[in-house]
Amino acid sequence: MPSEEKVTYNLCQGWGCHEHCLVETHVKDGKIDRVQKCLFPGKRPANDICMKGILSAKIPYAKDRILHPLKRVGERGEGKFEQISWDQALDEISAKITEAAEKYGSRSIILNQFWCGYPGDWKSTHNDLIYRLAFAYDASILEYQAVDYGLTFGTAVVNGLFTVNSRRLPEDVGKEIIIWGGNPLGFTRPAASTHFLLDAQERGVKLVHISNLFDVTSARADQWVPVKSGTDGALALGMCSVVIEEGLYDAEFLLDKTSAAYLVNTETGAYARAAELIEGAGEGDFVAADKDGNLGVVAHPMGQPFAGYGDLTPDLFATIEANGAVYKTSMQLLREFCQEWTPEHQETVTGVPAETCRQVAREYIANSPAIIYLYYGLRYPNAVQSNRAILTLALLAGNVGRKGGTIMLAGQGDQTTMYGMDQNVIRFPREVRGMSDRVTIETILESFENPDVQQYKVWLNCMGNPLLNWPNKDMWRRRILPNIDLFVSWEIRMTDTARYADYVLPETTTFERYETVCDTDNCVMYCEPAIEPLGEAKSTAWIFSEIAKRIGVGSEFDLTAEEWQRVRIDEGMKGKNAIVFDDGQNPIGTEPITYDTLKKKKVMRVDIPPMIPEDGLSMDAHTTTTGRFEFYNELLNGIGHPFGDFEPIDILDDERRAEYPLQFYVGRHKYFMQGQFTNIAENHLLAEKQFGVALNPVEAKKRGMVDGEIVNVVNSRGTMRVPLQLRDDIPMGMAHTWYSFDEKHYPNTCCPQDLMHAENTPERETAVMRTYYPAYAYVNINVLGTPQVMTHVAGPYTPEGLWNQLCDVRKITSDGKEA
Amino acid sequence: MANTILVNMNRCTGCWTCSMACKSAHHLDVKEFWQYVRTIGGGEIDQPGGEWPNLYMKWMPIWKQKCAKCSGDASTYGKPYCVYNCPAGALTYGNADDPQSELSKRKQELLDKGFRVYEIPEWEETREGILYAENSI
Repeated sequence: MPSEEKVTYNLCQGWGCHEHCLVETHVKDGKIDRVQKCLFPGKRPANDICMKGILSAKIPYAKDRILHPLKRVGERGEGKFEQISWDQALDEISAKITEAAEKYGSRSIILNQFWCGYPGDWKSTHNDLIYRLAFAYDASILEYQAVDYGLTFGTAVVNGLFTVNSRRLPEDVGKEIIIWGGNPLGFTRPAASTHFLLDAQERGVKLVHISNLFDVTSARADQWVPVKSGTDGALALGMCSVVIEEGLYDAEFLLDKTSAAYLVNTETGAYARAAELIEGAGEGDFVAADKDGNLGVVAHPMGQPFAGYGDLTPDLFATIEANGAVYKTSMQLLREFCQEWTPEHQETVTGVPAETCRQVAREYIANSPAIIYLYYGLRYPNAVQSNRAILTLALLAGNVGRKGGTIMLAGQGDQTTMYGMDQNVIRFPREVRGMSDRVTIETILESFENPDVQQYKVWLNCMGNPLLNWPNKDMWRRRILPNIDLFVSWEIRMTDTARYADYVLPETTTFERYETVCDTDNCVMYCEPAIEPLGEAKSTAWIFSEIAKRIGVGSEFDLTAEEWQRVRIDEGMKGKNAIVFDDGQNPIGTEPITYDTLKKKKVMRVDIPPMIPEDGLSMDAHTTTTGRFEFYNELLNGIGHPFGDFEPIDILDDERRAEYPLQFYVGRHKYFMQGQFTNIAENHLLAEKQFGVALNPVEAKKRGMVDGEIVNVVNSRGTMRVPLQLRDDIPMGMAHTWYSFDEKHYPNTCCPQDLMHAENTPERETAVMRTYYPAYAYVNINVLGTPQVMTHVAGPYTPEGLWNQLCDVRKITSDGKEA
Repeated sequence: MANTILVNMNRCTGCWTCSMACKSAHHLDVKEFWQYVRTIGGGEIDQPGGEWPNLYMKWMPIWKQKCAKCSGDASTYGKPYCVYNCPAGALTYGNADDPQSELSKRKQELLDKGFRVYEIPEWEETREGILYAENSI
């Protein structure tokens, strides 16, 4: 009998890499036979696959797949469960939700929607339904750990808003791409970014990689510039100093696009308002001066095109005295600030030779248009300031908002969703009981100590694997979970988080459910089940509907998983068209996007005016003080950070280093992503020898250690006993490990997460964030109208910090003690 | 040779997609590989050679003699699964004897750019018909 075959399109189960690939699933006799690259309509290549994508076919069949609802019978974390029926699970969970809501209010229910790593992420139906439940029930949404937002805040200070640039920008022009931090060619985002960066290199574009580690990107780059961890801001300032002192800056760009020529009152640190210096001029306008000290009003653009300087020929370096105060342009102040940051001085901080600093800076200018590709590779508490310093360099070069010459951010598709699909059609229920609240870990911890504030009792972990992915594990075990009455996790396998849950709900994999996502490369994708759900796994749409019914908001969840997709497309994308292509993939017209057409075509390329215009800036409505790009920020001047700069952090502190001399660096493994692939045998085969801690051979020799011996990795938070590898790609002063391996790989010893400090807690506050966060929140909530519950990073904590901890690696004597 | 594969070593990032695509399509056991990726550097997978900061690393996909010399199926447009799925654009497939084939054209393009084109010696007992092109790495 011939076998029955079919092909479906499904989201890669990985997705946490933000490449957001769709995979082509080949099914034989009801079982996934293989998964391969899927082609998109239009130009090629437009979608890729990596080894994890190929192996995602094995995820539904993994040995630790959860196939039935489970109820904990042992202690939390012990991993002992009994199989129960769906009815029992849903009845008991719903009863506890209702009980907590009656006693402590509906806000005592916390929904975790940390989407990173979840197929479809914040664009998924699942994410929309979490919001819908939150708003229908007025539950709380968890503010997940602060991570990867250094760039968001850095660009927000300089630009007022998050600047999103297309990863397709380097396709035609540009002569150089500086990849600053991160490893886009290798570890984290290996599919489409790899392809286009290599295409650029093959066209003759020079790839420069600035990073603290030697990795795939360093190996493939034309030049690798090793920089000491956490000192990137200093290197950027050194390069700014070269550009300013050698007159290599783009004066025309600085005048046309930035506040470089605006006068600043050096007494107050504020930009001079026109009314302050020119009689009859406006309070909201600004002032520039020419070489003779004549003043001119520079009108605030108020979101309109910049009107220029009138008759004035502004002097970028003007200094004037008026009303007994000295006024200098922000460019002059930057020049003075950068005088300290000679290439020689930066070398003492970064370890980058002064000559290399000069060469990289000069070539960045000479090779303009050139791109700086920022890849979330600066996970230090000073990342906001470092990113500001890097953006300052780009502004000086005029390499912002120019085709082939701009700042590019990590390849999150092309962000089609933001203008392609209106997800609010699902997120907002017909009847909104309340706008919920976004609560931080700090708020939750505080509530345990103070019965007079809102209490948090039920934790619905609808997305994410916090017990593996988030530091500090000890905080979860000792401080959070003992105070939570109910901890439920939606899971496809026995993750670390599942092991600590009271109930584990078996969720369908991406191969077993319906989904529509408007994302990658401006395409909207239709995903249908490739296989029947295994065991008793259920779609989250079903799970939410069943819980909703039992807690009194069932009427808001009356659709099936497939029916929600129709709403997303027919209502959420109403009026949008797709490009029609001929067999040669040439565009020949457009057609309306409807659910029925999408279901037939599977992938449609949305016809939208380029969100990324020729100037490369997707959101050029600056909400900065001056309405222009600002490397000088008057608000942050108040706390001594007028410019992007180099802020000292723990790992650079000599006193702290005296006790724990090594940076404890926790990396993400290229074969494991956010931990979704740690249960796949093939991945383990390739990665298992890298389990443990790695040191540079010089550091190991100092400690009398050899490759392969078992060592203690120690800091004030704990001890992790693991094998040692000697690796030449690890710099001196660093102990390198991976966060990806599950807890069970560390029997009777700490995991890397134990040795990491917690995020979103008072000790993670920084002066920059304390000062800047309220302004950011104001813009997001009051100017853009984003509901507070939908903003990210709801607090003044450093938006980065995963790589800012120290440790030592110590030898173990034959009796098992530390030498 | 009809089913030749050309590897642009300058584009290989050692991601193992080719290898896993092969294993998956041919249903190989976990530890069975018809094709794998060798890191040229410090000995282990993804381990560079040299001393900090003078480090180097490159990758060489190897096809064993066991390679089925498949040409995929209609869904891969007649390309072997390894070639079709490569996310780096490092692999080209075709008839080396036909000067008009995609493979021959790509080979000539790389030769014109100054690449060396070489094969693994026969005594290493790898699959025949694999060409490596490499330039200054």
